[in-house]
Amino acid sequence: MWTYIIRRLLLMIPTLFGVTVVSFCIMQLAPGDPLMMQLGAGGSAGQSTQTREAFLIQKRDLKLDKPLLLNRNYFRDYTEPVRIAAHYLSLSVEEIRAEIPALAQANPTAEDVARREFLRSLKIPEFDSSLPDADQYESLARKIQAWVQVDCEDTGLNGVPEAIALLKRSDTPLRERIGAIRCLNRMVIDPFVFTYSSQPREAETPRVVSGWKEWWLKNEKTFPPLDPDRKEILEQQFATLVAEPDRGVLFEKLQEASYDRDDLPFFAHKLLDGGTLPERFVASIVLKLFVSVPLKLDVPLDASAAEVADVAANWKLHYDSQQAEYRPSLTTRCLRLFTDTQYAHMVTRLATFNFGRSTLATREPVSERLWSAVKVSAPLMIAAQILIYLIAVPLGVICAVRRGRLADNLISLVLFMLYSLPSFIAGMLFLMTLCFGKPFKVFPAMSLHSEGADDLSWVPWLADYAWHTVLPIVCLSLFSLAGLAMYSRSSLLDVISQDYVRTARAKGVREVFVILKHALRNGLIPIITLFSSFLPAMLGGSVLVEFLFGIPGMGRLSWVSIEQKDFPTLMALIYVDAIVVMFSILLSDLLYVAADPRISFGGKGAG
Amino acid sequence: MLGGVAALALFVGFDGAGTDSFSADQAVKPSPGTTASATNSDRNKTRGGQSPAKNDTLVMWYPNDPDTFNPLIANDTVSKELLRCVHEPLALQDFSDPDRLEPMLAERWDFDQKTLTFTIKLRKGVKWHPMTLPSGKTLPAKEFTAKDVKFTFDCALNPHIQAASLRSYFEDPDATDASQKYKIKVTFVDDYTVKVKWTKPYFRAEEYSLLADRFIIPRHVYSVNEKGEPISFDFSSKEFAEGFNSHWANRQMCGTGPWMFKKWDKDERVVFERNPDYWGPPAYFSKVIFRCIPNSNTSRQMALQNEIDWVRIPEKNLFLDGKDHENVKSGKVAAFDFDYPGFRMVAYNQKRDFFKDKRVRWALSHAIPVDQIIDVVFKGLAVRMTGPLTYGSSAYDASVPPVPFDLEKSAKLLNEAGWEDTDGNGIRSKSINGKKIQATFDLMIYSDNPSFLTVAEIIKENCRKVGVDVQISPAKWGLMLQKMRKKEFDAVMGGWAMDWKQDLFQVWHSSQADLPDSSNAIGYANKELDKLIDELRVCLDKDRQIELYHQMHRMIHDDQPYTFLFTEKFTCFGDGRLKNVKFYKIRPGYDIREWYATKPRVLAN
Repeated sequence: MWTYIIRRLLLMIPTLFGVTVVSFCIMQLAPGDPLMMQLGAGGSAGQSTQTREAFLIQKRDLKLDKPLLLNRNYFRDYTEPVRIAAHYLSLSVEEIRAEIPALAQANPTAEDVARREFLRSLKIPEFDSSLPDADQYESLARKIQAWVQVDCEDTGLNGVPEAIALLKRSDTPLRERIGAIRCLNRMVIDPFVFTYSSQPREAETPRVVSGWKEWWLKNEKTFPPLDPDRKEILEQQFATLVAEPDRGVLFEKLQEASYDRDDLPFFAHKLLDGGTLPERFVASIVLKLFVSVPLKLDVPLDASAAEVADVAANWKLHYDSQQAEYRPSLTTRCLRLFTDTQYAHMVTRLATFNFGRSTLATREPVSERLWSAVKVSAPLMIAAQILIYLIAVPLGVICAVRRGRLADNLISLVLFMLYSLPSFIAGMLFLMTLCFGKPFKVFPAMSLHSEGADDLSWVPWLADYAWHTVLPIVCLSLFSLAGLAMYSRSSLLDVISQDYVRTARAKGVREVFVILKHALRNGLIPIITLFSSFLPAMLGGSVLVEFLFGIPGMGRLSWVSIEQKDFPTLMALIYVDAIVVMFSILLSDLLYVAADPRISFGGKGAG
Repeated sequence: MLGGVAALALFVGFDGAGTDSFSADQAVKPSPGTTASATNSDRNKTRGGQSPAKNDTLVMWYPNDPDTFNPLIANDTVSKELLRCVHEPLALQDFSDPDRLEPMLAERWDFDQKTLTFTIKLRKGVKWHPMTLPSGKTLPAKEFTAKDVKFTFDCALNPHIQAASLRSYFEDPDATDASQKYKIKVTFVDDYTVKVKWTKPYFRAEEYSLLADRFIIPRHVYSVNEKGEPISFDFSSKEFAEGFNSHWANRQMCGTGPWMFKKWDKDERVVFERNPDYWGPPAYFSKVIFRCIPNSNTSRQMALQNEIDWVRIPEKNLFLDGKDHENVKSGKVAAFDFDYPGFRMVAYNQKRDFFKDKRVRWALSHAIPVDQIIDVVFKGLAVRMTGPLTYGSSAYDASVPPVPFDLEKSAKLLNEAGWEDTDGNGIRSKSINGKKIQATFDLMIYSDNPSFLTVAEIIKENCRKVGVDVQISPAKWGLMLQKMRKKEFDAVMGGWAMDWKQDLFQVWHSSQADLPDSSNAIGYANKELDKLIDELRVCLDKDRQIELYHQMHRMIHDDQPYTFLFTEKFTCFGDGRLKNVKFYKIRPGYDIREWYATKPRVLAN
């Protein structure tokens, strides 16, 4: 038996893998993604620079910028694209416009061909049709600028080494350097980190210090020497700050501290000249409070050579400190071919059961959302299942025993009607007749509790809950109830005509015992199979019934997640559902064996 | 409709001096030197002029859970309506006269034209609501100070925080490099004074300096994590932004307003209780419950049976049907309809050959029987519009005549534009660049609202009469967004929600037409209009602003890039016990702070 179970468990892994691949692909094929839904809903689909930046940041956070299944970006050569992109980003719209005729001419130079092919690869709308039309040039120039920027953003960190190489080369003209810097600004968000995270770690020190060191080199001369008396005071204050054990208090003290700009050299020394981690931590925060942008990273189009050199040095510093990140080894790159993709990131989350956060604006942990929905759906579903088994099996028995008589015919007719009545139609009928006051108003129309039910003690609370859940439970059970009753009727009929039942009767056993003890026990075996639908149903909830009665359960959650394109929640739902389905199938197999001695796990050596 | 007009007329005489400095209403202005305690009689009256009810619950309705309760991130109508109960901005757009701002957390402010600086004096003695951390630790009621204001702006300007729609108002479109990206600088002067300096004039600077459309957030709540420890010591860091975006208080509220947040049962209800220490006129209702009822049939029935106090009925036939209910006739339930800022239109993709000619767009506008649509589909509960500005605001030029329904004229214009039925198939065609093109287009509509389909069918039928073939393609919201972003559509029927004051830049400026994913999805470009938009953006003279608005309105109308259809009225059922229900031209259209009830709703305890 154990071999069987283990084999089944192992089979689950490829099945789950298949489930995730299929659902992932469907999700990708459906139009819209979480970001689009969010920005679109707010009416801010329009992209000013700001929304563009926010869009990009979120895209990277959600890993939506990664390729779907295979990340070849680590093997691509970005030299040419980055060079041409740098060229275009160093031009104003008017200058780009002036260059368009060169692209359109009949005998283009090699450079023009390269540029044209590059622009074509960006899939600018109406690019080819605009090329011969001089009226379109201004519009085209703006498009080129916008799409080149988008291309840099999409290239992201992969293009950084090439852009830096462009800056490092001595023969790069000034304008192209400016363009390269502007490319870098699109590719990297926040290259420098100037403060420690709230729980400082020693490992962060090199990054924090390197930025400030550069700043200090450039700005040291602008500060007057620190007065020794002042230094004494600062030293004392600093010591108390560093010694402060309560982080909340430290935070308030730092926010309220009154320092002067001239005090900054003191903190710069504390940070740069070595010292304990708490000292560096405090010093970096005080510096950041005063100097919001320590290092300049962007340049205007008309920047002077000195300015460009200054900013380029900052970028080189960033690159040098992140070498390992930008120049991964061949093995890392090969590994990333498969691991740095949207699918891989998603599977990692699922496999570790760390579902991450929902993409909704609250950014709630997915597991919390699932759990709160399960808590609502599960009791309803359990109640519905109990109701189904309690009613359906006896009904089936009655029908089987009274086969062909009036009771059987009547019950079968009613069951067939129920079977053909979808639960949401039943729900609507219930609402209209029993809840809206025309003609009756017996049950509440929605929700699981009355207003103010939280203040009730548990008996009235339970009564209130029961009153609210009658209709949803009935709706949930009707369909399966009919099915299960018919099923148990037919399986019992199979058994009733068997020899051993006749033997029992012949022995003179009372009819009731014949049915319940001999026939039913065997007749129920097929019904056990249906048990496998029990657990998944509990999790799945019912979209329509939950919508009709305003119940915040699993069905509503799946619906909302689909509508909002909340991929993390949706994937977690599918994944958990798949696991539960597979376990319940296994469970029903095991129950089969337990209930029917004729069935065994049969394999050679197993059993 | 009557309700809306009457309420506005009543307030026409209200003091709206158009100076750059406002002071608080006498009733709520604290006398100098003391904390917020004006004369007793004033302090004890609600905005509706009543004494607050002892125990009366107002039960409101909402269709779907709001996105988040984080006041900086929330941008949907549901969360804003809920947030308004608890949160307050520095100044709020005056409901009865939206052109002026009503001081809330700011007591007064001055604007220096020369330095473009707003000096904002804050109200003293205002307390944040007490709050409980998820860890169980309580944050006591703290006083509201300029630190909170500075913090709010700090958060809004952190690029990693999901407040891009707010940030875009502070952004400088002409910045040559990243260091000048914001055109504001906020300085903390003392605990009750903040300075907001703009580097460039901006016509909505006052609104956004006072965050009239947003709210101030408490620093002591949003700067700490679940355990009450600071998220990060650096508000501009990515670490702080991540903590802020997924903040525990995104599912709670801590404000300064008339009601305090009690709880949010997801997909069920949001509960507020009266704030006993409110600085202004107290709230009438001791409790406000917003119930989530996604099934519109249920919500309507519950309102008709007085189980909830307020519900909106989007489907006009359901609304009219409900008006015949016995409880409406007997006055137990009241039916309301009122104007709401927003409009519907048919937008034509200007990049398509068929729509390039202005005469074709006029012809299509002539062929759409808007009045008939209003009568038949919306049962008269919509008002015809002629331009992209808020109907009823001073910016809207009421003198622009609507395009009359005239099939003959339409046919004539199409003939003039060279579109003729040459092959006798009943559909016009024209050869452009040697290619014969049929006068046919896809009209994309939102598939989840049946009224769109009815309207589209009326359009299809009438266009057919002038030899233009319309294919209706219903699409889900996701698909619609995607097609509009990629400009892969012929025509789309949609709508815009609107602010009182519009900046037409986002939707109409030609520079936006060439950007990927822009709101100018139809690719509209008009150099003359660009100039007006650019001038308006830096225009601080209110009369000149209106002049510019009227010019833009006429210019867009003349071009007919959209066929402007109508602004739909909101239709609601309210409990008959509610009194002083007035309607206003800005969202949400009513102000629950001034309502009161003739008989209380006491919930069983």
